[in-house]
Amino acid sequence: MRRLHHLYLQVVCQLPPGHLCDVIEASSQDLPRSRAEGLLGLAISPYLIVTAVVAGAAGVAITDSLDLPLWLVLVASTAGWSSAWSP
Amino acid sequence: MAFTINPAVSRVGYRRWIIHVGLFALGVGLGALLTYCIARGLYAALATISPAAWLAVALPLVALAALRDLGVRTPVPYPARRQVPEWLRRMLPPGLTAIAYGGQLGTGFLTRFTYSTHIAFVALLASQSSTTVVGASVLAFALSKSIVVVSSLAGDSYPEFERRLLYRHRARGQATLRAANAALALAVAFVLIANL
Repeated sequence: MRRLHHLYLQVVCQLPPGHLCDVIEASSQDLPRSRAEGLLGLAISPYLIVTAVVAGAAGVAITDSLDLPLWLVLVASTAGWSSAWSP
Repeated sequence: MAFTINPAVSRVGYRRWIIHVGLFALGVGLGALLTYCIARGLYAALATISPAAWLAVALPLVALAALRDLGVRTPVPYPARRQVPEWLRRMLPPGLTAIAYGGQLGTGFLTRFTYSTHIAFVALLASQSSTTVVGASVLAFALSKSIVVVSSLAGDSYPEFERRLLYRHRARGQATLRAANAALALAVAFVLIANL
């Protein structure tokens, strides 16, 4: 086992920079995932972080610059969006 | 309306469908503005008695709608079952149907509200006089209410579209969503009390 670790380390050290990430990503793509893992995975998704930050910044900028009551905007959006789940 | 304003149902291309979504959002906005005008008129009439008189109308309505979201069969000031009229889509072209359905759903009182936040929104909106505030809130409402139409896009084949919509309706969490709406509606009621 020790020998194997040594071998792995040698292989990893010889890989070009960034290649290890590609290898891990490629090998983990086919792994079966539970729904919880999928949701937790979303929390570290760069796209989701960027989307949340941009949406938050735009929301704060708009409400702040127009002096909008936040409660009103929140309840307006909730009333509209929630109706997407009407039975 | 997700079953109507859809490329698979209206048999139009994606570009035309985008226009229909825009018309639906416009209809929702116009409907919400109509409701605002009615509610604002009532608010102004009551304000001649006392600025807080609006609470006597708004709070019971919000409370009844919130209780309904929590599962209590309370009476509500809108049709509890009626949805948009099916026959309309056979009478009108898709674009006009989109704006008509949007208008009816945006008005609220002509069809079921679905959640108590809608009545809380109207109650709070009526207390606002700024054009910017009213316009931005109605825009937020119209855009968020159009999400259901945008997200119903599922190719141009009807079986695929139907399968995806049925899958969507199997999703759980409606009780939680109703509870969250009731909580937000009550929070908005407190905001109304604090501000009037």
